[in-house]
Amino acid sequence: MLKLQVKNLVKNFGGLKAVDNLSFDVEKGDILGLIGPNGAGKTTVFNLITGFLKIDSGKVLFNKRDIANLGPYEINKIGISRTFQIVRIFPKLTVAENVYAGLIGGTKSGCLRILLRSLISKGNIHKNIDQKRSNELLKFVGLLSQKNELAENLPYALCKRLELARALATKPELILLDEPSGGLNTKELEDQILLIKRIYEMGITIVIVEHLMKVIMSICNRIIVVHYGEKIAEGSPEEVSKDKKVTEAYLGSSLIAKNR
Amino acid sequence: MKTSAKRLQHSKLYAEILGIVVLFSIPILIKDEYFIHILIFAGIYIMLALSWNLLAGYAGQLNLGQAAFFGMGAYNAALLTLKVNLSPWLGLLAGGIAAGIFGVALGFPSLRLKGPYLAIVTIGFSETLRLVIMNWVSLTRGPLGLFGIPPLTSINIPYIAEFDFSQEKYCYYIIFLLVLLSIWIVNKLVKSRFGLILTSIREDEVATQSIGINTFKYKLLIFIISAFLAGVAGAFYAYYIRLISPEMLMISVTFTILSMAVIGGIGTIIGPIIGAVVLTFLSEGLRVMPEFRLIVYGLLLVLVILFAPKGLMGLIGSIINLTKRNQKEEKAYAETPGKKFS
Amino acid sequence: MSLLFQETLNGVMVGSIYALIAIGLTVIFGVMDISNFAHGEFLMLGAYVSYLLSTIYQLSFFVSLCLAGLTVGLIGIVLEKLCFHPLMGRSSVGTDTIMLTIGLCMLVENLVQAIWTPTPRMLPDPFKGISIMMPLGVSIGFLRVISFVIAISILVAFQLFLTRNKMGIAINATAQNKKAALLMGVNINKIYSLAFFMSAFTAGVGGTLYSTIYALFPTMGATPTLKAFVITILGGMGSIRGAIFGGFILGITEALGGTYIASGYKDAFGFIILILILLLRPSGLFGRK
Repeated sequence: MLKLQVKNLVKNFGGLKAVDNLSFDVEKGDILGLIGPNGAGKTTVFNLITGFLKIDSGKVLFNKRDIANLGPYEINKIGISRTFQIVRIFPKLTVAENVYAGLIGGTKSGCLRILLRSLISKGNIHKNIDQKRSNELLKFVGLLSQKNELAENLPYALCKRLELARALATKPELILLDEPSGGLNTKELEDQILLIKRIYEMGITIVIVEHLMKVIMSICNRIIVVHYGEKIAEGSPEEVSKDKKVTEAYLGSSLIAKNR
Repeated sequence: MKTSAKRLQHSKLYAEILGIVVLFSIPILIKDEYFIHILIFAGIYIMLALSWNLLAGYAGQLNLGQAAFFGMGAYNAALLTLKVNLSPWLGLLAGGIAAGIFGVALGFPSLRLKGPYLAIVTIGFSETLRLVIMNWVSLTRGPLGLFGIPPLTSINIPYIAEFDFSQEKYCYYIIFLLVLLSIWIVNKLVKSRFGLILTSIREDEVATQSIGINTFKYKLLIFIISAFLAGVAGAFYAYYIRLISPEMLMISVTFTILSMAVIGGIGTIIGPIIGAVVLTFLSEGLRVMPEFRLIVYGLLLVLVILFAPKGLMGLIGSIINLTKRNQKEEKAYAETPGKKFS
Repeated sequence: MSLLFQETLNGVMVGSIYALIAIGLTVIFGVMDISNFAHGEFLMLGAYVSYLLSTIYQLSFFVSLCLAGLTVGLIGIVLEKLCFHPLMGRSSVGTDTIMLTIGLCMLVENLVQAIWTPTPRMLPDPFKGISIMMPLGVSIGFLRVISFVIAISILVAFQLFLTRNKMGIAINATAQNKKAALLMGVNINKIYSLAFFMSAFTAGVGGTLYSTIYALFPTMGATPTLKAFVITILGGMGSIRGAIFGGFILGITEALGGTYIASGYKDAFGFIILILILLLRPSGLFGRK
């Protein structure tokens, strides 16, 4: 079953083509990897899908529904969650409260309803939040024992997991992970890969943006290679790693990087 | 463990009841009208500082137009009572509502603007409103201001008491109730799911949107609520002082409100209350030279920002923490993730 | 017709002073991300220094003007070291600096009020009675013409400094990208001090020129500062050229609007334009991004 369809997506920044006529499909149950050298436009694709950037032309369909003109919060409401390249947690809130926010975002109640409920309900916030689910989520990412700590005191790797827990709290059908490996050491990376596999086992479709080949190769069932905003290859990890264009793009960019 | 928490809760409740009883009996015990007058002013400032703090401290919306909400409430209440004989009691509500509507106007720019941009635009709205009031002489009498505003209508309960609200001591009870109500509302708001979303907007608005929250609606609502509270305070001010002028919309009024909240401790409930009370009494102590009031506010504000960014509350908190320092320091510790999930 | 000409000329002259005030504000914002609500106090101090020097010490207009700029510039450096520098590493630096400048604004303004009373004073006009005849029977006071020339020369010098001088280019680079500038070996502390000096210097001069039109009093800084904010936002915060254009646009709009629309709302025109533009074009007319 088709979950997400991206059709002829185009985005320009001034004269620069960040995304150029990009199309791909995501099937339900996929772990799709979106790879490419730095500056290939991968994060831009995420920002376009999740409504943080306006699409210049093209279409994005989710469950066959056109979502091109929806705002970020509406996109989340219909079942697409995301994480960010540079972690975005709420530093001055506790770990548990970060997850609470996700749980509130995941409910159907609108802002006015929450306001009125807040005024008439007795007791503190802990009583009005599904504690069981919050604890489950925290346990799932391994943060249960730190739940009352301020998020700003967590080391980076744990911030990434917290962000993941918050994204999962909104009950997504599809989750977009922007560089889940970024800033992690080898041990942390292994944990992170394990965690992503677990999310996959929960039946959530996943799209990953990465430039670390290792991560993509070990998790994804399908890979799309983007270069200068264009799709240059698509297929299983084995197929893609043998593709000539791909090695050229990667080799070329690493040569440039060395010469700098 | 649980019993000590409960005991703490109980003793907190007792302290609150005791505090309310003491504050309630002040006008009976102390006959000094001037003292009561200062207390009333402290009450007005508490409402203003609390309402500003909702926006700036909790939602992270740096509004510099709080004086406009105050003025909007006062002018609307006074005009409705003077021109169409609206009962001052309803005028309190009408002032709040009028300010709330103006709050929508100030909240709309927050859709797109943040930080310094929002600050300037809110000043812009506030100054524009002040100029309108200054220039619309046929309605507002311009710089002369409105006078002859009647006090809150007296309530006569036969054989028991007569509450004449042209007297300070009775007005004290009204502002006392209004302040209690404001504290109750603010407390409910910030300690609930609504408040949690407000703080997450302050911490990271993009992330808040990414988890399915229409942040604009929240911001708009908190602008309206904040404006409403400040508007009610303004309306009360009009019926208490019974003489209002465009000076109550000056930027210095917003700055005063801001100083109180920041010096007391921004982003807390008790902070703005303490700040408002301390600064009001301090300024009365400095009555000899009115300029000294703002000099002291400014100096305190600078010192607080430089040396105690969490305000007086933060200072008290860190002193308490110092005494508790011996407690073990826990290091963030990572468990293996992905163990179980049902 | 002559009224239109007269008012346009007035607008251009006031606009040049607005521009002078605004570049100081925008340079601090560009380099340090500080919205300086105490900028008006630099103006006011500059005007008072000029006034004191030219009345008590009988110094000439130009000498007192220069000394005022230098004095206020030094005050700027001291303030930067004492108050702003300690805040630069904080996560809440944006709001903290706004609150700090608001505190400074209240403190300085009322301190001056306590010392010199709120009475408005007039800077002695060294060219009293001299005016220049223009076409259409319009005449303009010589002091205004001189003010205009001074303002324009400083604006030009400012722009040249930022584009030709090594330190100026470093300032520009810091405003564009702080991290990159640090990597290129720019001494950021020196840049901050210099930026504050330039901002306060132009404000000191601008304040003196402003007071030749509107008199000087302790709260005189508030209105032009708000206008300077409007101008910097219109021109895109951090953009020098934007600030200069914005200054002239606001000066002319106010002069014409005040004459032909409503004089009581003269000070509100800027805000109204600002609100409209921000809703339509958030990065300003000449925005960087």
